[in-house]
Amino acid sequence: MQLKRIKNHLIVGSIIMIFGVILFEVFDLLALGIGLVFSGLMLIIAGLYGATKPETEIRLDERMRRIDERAGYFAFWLTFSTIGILLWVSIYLPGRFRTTDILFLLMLIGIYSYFIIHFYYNRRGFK
Amino acid sequence: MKNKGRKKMELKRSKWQLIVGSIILTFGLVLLAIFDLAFLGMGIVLSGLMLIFIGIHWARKPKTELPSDERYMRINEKAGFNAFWNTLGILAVLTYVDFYFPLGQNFRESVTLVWVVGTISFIVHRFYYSRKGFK
Repeated sequence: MQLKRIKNHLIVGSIIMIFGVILFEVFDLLALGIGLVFSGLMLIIAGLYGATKPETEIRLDERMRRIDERAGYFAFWLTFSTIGILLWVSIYLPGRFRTTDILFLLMLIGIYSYFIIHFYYNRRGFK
Repeated sequence: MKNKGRKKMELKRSKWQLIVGSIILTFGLVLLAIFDLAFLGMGIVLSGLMLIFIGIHWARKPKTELPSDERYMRINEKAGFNAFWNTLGILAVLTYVDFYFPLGQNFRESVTLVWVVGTISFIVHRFYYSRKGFK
C-alpha cells in the first residue's frame, strides 16, 4: 500500500470527519453531522482503495478527465430535463409533492446518471 | 450585383435544427390547440422557435466564423461538468436548509431556484472557458 500517494485524501477526509463529529456531538445537528462523517469516511475509503492499486493500474489522467467531464455534461442535461418536467408537473399538479422529496429525487437522478454515464464511457471510451 | 453585401445563407448546414425545431413547434401547437394545455404548449412552441432561430443564425455565419467542433465540444463539456457539480451543491444545501430551517417553500420555488443556479453557472462557465481556453 502506497499511503503517500493518497496523503491528500486522508487529510481532507479526516478533517471532514472530525468536523462532522463536532457538529454531531457539540451542536446537536444530527443529520448534517452524520452526512459529513459519512462523506469523510467515503473519501478515506476511496483513498485506501486507490493506494492498494499498483502504479501500472492507475489510469491515464487525461482520459479520466475527459470521461469525468463528458459524464458531468450529460448528467447536467439529464438533471436539467428532469427539472423542466418537474416545473410543468408543478403547474398542472400543484401541491402534489413535498419539497424535500423533490430535492432528494433530483439529487439521486443527478448522481446515478453521472455514475452510469461514467461507467459507460469508461468501458466504451469517449471517441 | 443584386446580392452584393448580403450574407449568403447555407440552410443545409442547419438542416437538423430546422427539422427538429419544426417537429417540436408542431407538437406544441397540437398540445395548445387540441389538448388545451396552454402553458406546456406555449413552452414547447417557444423552444421549437428558439431552435429554428438558432439554426438560421448559424446558417447566416460565414464558414470562417464557425468555431472548431473539438474546441466547442470541450468547452461545453467543461462548463456542463462544473455546472453539474454546482447544481448538486445547491441541491444538497437546499436539502439541509429545508431540513433544519423549513422555509415553507413550495416545490415549484425550490426547483426554479435550482434551475436558475444551474443555467447561470453553465452560461458563466461557458463564457469563462471560451475566453480563457480550456487548457
